[in-house]
Amino acid sequence: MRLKQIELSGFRGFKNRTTIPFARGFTIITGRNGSGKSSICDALEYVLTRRLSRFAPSDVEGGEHIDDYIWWRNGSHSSTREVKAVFELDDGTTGERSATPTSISSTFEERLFYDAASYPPDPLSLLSQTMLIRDESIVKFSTDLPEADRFDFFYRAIGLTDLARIERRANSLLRQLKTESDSLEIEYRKRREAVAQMISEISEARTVASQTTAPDMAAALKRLADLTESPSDAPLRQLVQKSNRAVAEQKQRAQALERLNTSLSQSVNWRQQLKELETKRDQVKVEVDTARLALEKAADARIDAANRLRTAQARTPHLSALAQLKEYGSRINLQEGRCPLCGSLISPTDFDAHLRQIQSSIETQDRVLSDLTTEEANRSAQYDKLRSEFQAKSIEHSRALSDCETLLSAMRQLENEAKTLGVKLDSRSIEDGSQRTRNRLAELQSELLQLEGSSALDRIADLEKQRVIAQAEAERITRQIDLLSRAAQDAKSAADTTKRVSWESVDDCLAALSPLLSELFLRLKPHVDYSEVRYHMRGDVKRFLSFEIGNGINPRFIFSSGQRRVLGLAFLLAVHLSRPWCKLPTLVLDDPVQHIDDYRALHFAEVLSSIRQLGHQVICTVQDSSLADLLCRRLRSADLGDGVKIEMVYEPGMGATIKSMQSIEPLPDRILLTA
Amino acid sequence: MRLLEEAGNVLRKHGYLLSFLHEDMLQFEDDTLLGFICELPLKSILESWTNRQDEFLKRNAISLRNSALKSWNLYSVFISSDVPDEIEQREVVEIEEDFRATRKIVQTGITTASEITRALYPFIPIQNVAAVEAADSLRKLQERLSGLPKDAVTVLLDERISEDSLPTIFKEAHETKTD
Repeated sequence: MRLKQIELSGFRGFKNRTTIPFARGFTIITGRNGSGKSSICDALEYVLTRRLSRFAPSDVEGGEHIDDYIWWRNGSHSSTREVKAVFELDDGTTGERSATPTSISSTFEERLFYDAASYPPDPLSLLSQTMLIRDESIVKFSTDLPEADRFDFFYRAIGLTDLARIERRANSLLRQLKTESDSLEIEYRKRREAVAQMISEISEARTVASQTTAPDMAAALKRLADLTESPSDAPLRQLVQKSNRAVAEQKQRAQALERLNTSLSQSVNWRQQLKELETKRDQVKVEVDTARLALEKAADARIDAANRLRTAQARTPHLSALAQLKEYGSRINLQEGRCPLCGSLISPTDFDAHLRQIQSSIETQDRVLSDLTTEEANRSAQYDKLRSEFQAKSIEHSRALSDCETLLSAMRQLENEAKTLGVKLDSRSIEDGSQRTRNRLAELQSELLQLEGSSALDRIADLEKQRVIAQAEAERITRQIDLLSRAAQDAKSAADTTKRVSWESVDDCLAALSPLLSELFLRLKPHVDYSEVRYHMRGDVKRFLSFEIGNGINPRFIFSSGQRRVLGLAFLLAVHLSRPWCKLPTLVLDDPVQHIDDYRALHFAEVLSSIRQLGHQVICTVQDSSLADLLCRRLRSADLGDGVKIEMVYEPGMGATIKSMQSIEPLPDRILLTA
Repeated sequence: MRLLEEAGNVLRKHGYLLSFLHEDMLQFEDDTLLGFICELPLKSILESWTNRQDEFLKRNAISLRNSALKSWNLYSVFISSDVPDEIEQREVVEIEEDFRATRKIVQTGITTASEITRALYPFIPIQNVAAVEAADSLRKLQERLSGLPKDAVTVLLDERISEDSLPTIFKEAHETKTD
C-alpha cells in the first residue's frame, strides 16, 4: 500500500481544496514557515484518527483547544471542510479515506492498513504515531523527555497497552479486594470481641446463679420436668418452652370445664322439656294418622264418584244425537203418513207419542248425569280440604320431631365434652376436674415463676442465644475473608505476572530493536566521539528508559540540543522500521532537521536513502530549499520509484497553496563504469 | 583480510559496479552514487587524501562534467586499520566536514568484515531491520496465569466488565472454581 495523494479543503492552513500528490518513491515538500507543510502532515494524521496528537488534550488556552482550530477559520469561510487521502492498494486499485468535522468514511476496509492476524490495540493511532515523525515528537523523544515518559511512549509505540490496561485492572481489583477484606477483618474482630464478651458474661452469670438460687432452681427444674413429662436433663430453654405450653393447655382446660359446668346447670330442665316435646310429638302423630285415614277415605269416595260419572257418560253417548233426531222429526213432521226418520207408516198420534217419549227419555238421562257431576265435584272438594289438613298436621309433626332431636343433640354434645375433659357429666365430677386443673396450673406457674424470676438464668439463656448468633456470624465472615484472601492473592499474582510479562515484552522488544538503534545512531553520527548507544531500563514501580553512550555516559548531559534531536530521530526511525504488523510502508517526516548542522543533515539524507532502499515510501517536509535539493539528489533512484518536489507558499487571505511542483527524474545511468 | 577487497564485496553485493584504479584504490558507481575507496595507512590518508581525490576527479573530469547532477553524489572514502590518536581523530573529523568537491568518509581502526560493512553504511540499505512483536504478549500472559482459576482469568481479561463490578464477579469465580 502506498499513499497516492491527499486533498485538503478548509483544513488548518488550507482554505481552498488543494491536492498534494505523493510520488511512489519520495516526496520532498519545502516552503517557508506557515506555508502549509505541517498542515499536510496534520491532515494525514487526522484522516486516520480524527485527532491531532501533537496537541495534548490538556492544551487549552483562553478556553480554546486545538479542536477549535482544526478547520480553516482565518476570516472568510471555506466552502467545504474535508480531508481525503487516496491510497494505492496492494491489488493495484485505489482507495479513499475521508474525514469531515463529523465523520470518517472509507472506500476500503481499515484492516488493509495492518496485518489482520497480528496487530496492536488501536492500530490506526499507533500507525499514525509511528508513521509520522515530527519536530514535536523528535523533541519529546530526544533525551529532553523524562525517562518515565520516554518509556511510556515506547510502551505505547510497540502496542503493549493491552497489558498495561490488564495490569491496571488487576491492581484496581487488588485494591478493592483489600479494602473489602480490611472492612471484613474489622467486622470479624468486632464479632469475636462480642463472642468473647458473651462467654465471659455467661460464665459470670452461671457463677451467680449457682451461688444464689441453686437449690430452689434444681427443685423447680425437677418439678417442671415431672409436670411436663420431660427428661430430667432436658435443656433449660426447651423445658421452659414445654412448661409454657403446658400452662397454656391447663388454662384452656380450666376454661372448658367452667363452660361445661355452666352448660350442665342450664341443662337441668332439658329432660322435662324433652318429655313435653315427645308427648306433643306423639299427639301430633295420632292426629296425622287420623287425617291420613280421612284423606284416604275421601280419595276413595272421589274416585268412586268419578267412576260413576264416567260410567253414566259412557251409557248415554247418543243423547245429543237423539235430541237432534227428535228435533228433525218435530220440524219435518210426517211425510205422507210415513216417519221422516225411518220411512215407516205411522199415525200422527203415534208419531207425536213417539216424539214425547223420546223427549222424556232425553230429560231423564240428562238429570241423572247432572246429579252425578254434582256429586263428583263435592267429593273432590272434600278431598282437597282433608289433604290440606293432613299436610298441616304433617308439618307440625316434623317440627315436633326436630325440636326433640335438637334437644337430644345438645345433651349428647354435653356428654362428649365431659368425656373429652375426662369427667362425668355431673357437677361434682366437673368441679373435681376443675380443681385438679387449677392445682396443676398453679403448680406449673409457680415453678415457672420461680425459674423466670431468676434473672441470672434468664440472662444466661439470652447470652447463649446471642453468642450462638455472633459465633455463626463470625464464622461466616471468616469464610468470606478466606475467599477474599484467595481472590486478592490471585489478583496480586495476576498484577505481578502481567507486569513481569509486560516488562519482559518491553525488554524483548528493546533487545530486538537495539541493533537497529545502534545502526541508525552510527549512521546519523550525532557526536564524533561516541559511535555506540545502549538503552537501560530501571525502576520497579514505574519504569524508566534511558540511553547511555560510551562508558556509562548519559547523552542528556553531554549532547547539544541538535545532537539530542538526532538521537531522538534515531529512536523514532528505529520504532518506525520495526512494525511487522504495518502494511503502509510510508515514512512521513515533518521538518526533522531543525537545529541540526549541515554535516548531520547530510547523514540524515543518507539514512533516508538507506530507508528508501528498503522499499519505503518517504515523504519529508523541510524549510531549507537547499536541503530539499540535497534530499532530491540523494534520494533519486531509477530502481526505487520516482520522486517529486513540491514548493508550498502562503497567499494572504487564500491560505496555503502549491507554488511549484517538480518531478524528480532518475539520474543518468552509469557515467564512470559499465556492467 | 584486505579491507579494500572486502569493501568491494560489500558494494558489489548491493548492486554497485566496481573497478580497481590501483592496488589500494577502487572506484564504484550505481544509479545514484559514485566515488572511490582508498585503503591506506592513517598517516597517508591524513597527508595525501586531497591528492587521491584530485587524481580521481582529473581521471573522470569529462564524465563528471557531462553529468553534473550525478556529480553531486560523489564520495571519497578512505579506510584504514590504524587507530587514530586524539590529534589524528580531530584531523579525520576535519576531512569529513570538508564539503568541497566530494563527500568524504574516513573510517579508521577497521579490522573486521562487519566494521567494513558499518563503514559503508551510507551506500547500503538499513541492515538491522527488527521485528518488534508485542502481539504475543497476551498469549504469554494467559499461559502464565494458567495456575489461577480459569473463570477468574477470563473475567480479569474481559474488559467489557467494568472495574467497579470486577471484584464481585472475580470473587464469584473463586466460589465456583472450575479448574
